[in-house]
Amino acid sequence: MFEFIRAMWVGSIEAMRLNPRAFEIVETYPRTGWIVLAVAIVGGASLLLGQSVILFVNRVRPGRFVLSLLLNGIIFALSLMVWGAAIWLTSKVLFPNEIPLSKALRLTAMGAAPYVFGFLVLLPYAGNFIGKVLSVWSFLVVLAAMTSLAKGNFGAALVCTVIGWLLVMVMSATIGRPVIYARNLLYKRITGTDLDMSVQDILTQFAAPPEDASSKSRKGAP
Amino acid sequence: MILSTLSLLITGLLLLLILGALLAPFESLGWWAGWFGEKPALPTPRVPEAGEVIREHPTTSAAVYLSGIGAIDADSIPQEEIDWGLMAIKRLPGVLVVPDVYPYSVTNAGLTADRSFARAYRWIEQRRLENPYDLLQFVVNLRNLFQVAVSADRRYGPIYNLGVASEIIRALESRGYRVGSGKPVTLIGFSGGGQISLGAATYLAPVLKAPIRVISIGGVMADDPGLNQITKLYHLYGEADPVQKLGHWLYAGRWKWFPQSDWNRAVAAGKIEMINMGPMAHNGTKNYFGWTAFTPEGKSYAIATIDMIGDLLAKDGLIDPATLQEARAANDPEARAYEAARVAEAARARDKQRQTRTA
Repeated sequence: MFEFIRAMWVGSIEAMRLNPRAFEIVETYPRTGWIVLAVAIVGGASLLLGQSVILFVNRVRPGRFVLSLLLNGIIFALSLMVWGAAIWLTSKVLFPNEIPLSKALRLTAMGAAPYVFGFLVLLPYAGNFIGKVLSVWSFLVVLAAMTSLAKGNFGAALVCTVIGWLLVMVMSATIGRPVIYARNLLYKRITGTDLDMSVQDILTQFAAPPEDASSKSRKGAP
Repeated sequence: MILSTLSLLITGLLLLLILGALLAPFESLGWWAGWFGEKPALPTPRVPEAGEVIREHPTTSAAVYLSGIGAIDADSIPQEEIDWGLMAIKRLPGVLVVPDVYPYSVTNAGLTADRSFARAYRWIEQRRLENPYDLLQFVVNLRNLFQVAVSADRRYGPIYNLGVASEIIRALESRGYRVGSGKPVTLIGFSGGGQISLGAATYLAPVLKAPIRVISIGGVMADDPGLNQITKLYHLYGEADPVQKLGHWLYAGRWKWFPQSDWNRAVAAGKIEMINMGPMAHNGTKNYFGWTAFTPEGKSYAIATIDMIGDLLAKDGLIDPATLQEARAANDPEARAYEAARVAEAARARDKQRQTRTA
């Protein structure tokens, strides 16, 4: 167990350093898949912890709060895999190759490494900026991993990574909508709320003149 | 060996600092989510029962003081602020002064109240009573500084400021202010209290249905949505106070490149007035509450700050100028005596220090 956690930590740090050796190891040894998967789950959970204001605003209870973090970790790992599959598909079409899907999935999941520090988004003042840095960093990790997979062909890696991402976006808005719906339903079940209240709603509810506030929806009102 | 111990110590302190900052939003977020048993809501105006008359303070306006980041609870604030506040009450006639709010907690619970680290804070409080310049005071400053950052953060601020606004309303009511009376309320915030004043103003104006002014004394303020709800913000700053400039440097909404920000729109609307207090500092004997540093007119900095606030309130019609002059004239002998006592005390402390050094 300790070895596994150590491998997760070292793997995350080396991926964040964009160390080509780390990508080679993940590419070569299929057993690293479990480590990468665990990093992706931890990254997703950590990111939601950083953005947990949405859970608090919607008054999610402590037990459900922890379950939500876990669920987000799993969904985050799955979404990275979808992205990996889209990258793999793009590369098959644009740059015909014999790269197995499993390699592309493992390497894309390494993009979760920076999000292990996603909890830092919680920090007042600096949190939002840190969140943006982590997003860019995650993209760079995936790009570096794909470059390694493409034997150093940066141009092909960039094209496949970007088109793969766009593909996921288009799918989310079209044929993937039932999946998104099911995901949202799962979130609602786990959190026990509709998750439809935002910080802005608190301002609207309490900072509006009383006559305006009374006519507004009282959802989430204490 | 020494170097590695030192680096270990610095790393440990840095990690503690990050941990403290990470935990800072949880108090207000947990409060909102009801994790600690409270049900957050703004107090509603009390409706008198049949035949009951709600007692109302006869003053024409109220001023709520929100202390700087050195506060441990509403009563345990640095001595200089207490002395200053007591004198301010006497020199601001016709103003209901409300000092009962601890602005660094959404529930008005001081650090020595029922909290995990209450014992540690009690110990620090005791040390501060013995030595106002005790280094451990820094822990309190840091903890409260993080709460100021929470208030200024657009993700957490709306929740944090709602909690403080609720406490301000309760404190006002407990001192005889009738919610709905329309009497103007001035929030006077020192340092971090300046930002929290702005944040709380977001909710105070609609509930109190009264004009809200903010007087910031060396306040470190962000580009807060509360600016849209206030009548006026007076920012009193000292030329030797670099801390108050932090708000300008750290919050992009205050930079001139964002004309549509809440801050810049308030500036354009003439809502914000910057008032130069001369060579005053943020901390130390030459700060805004100093009794041993004097203006060229011979006023101590503490009195100069109070009088500036009085002048501003008189300018805005919240204090009758003649009554203000009378109150000042009546209080001047006491103020002079107090200043003289503090100067003598400082001289004795210096002599003692010199003797210790010589010995």
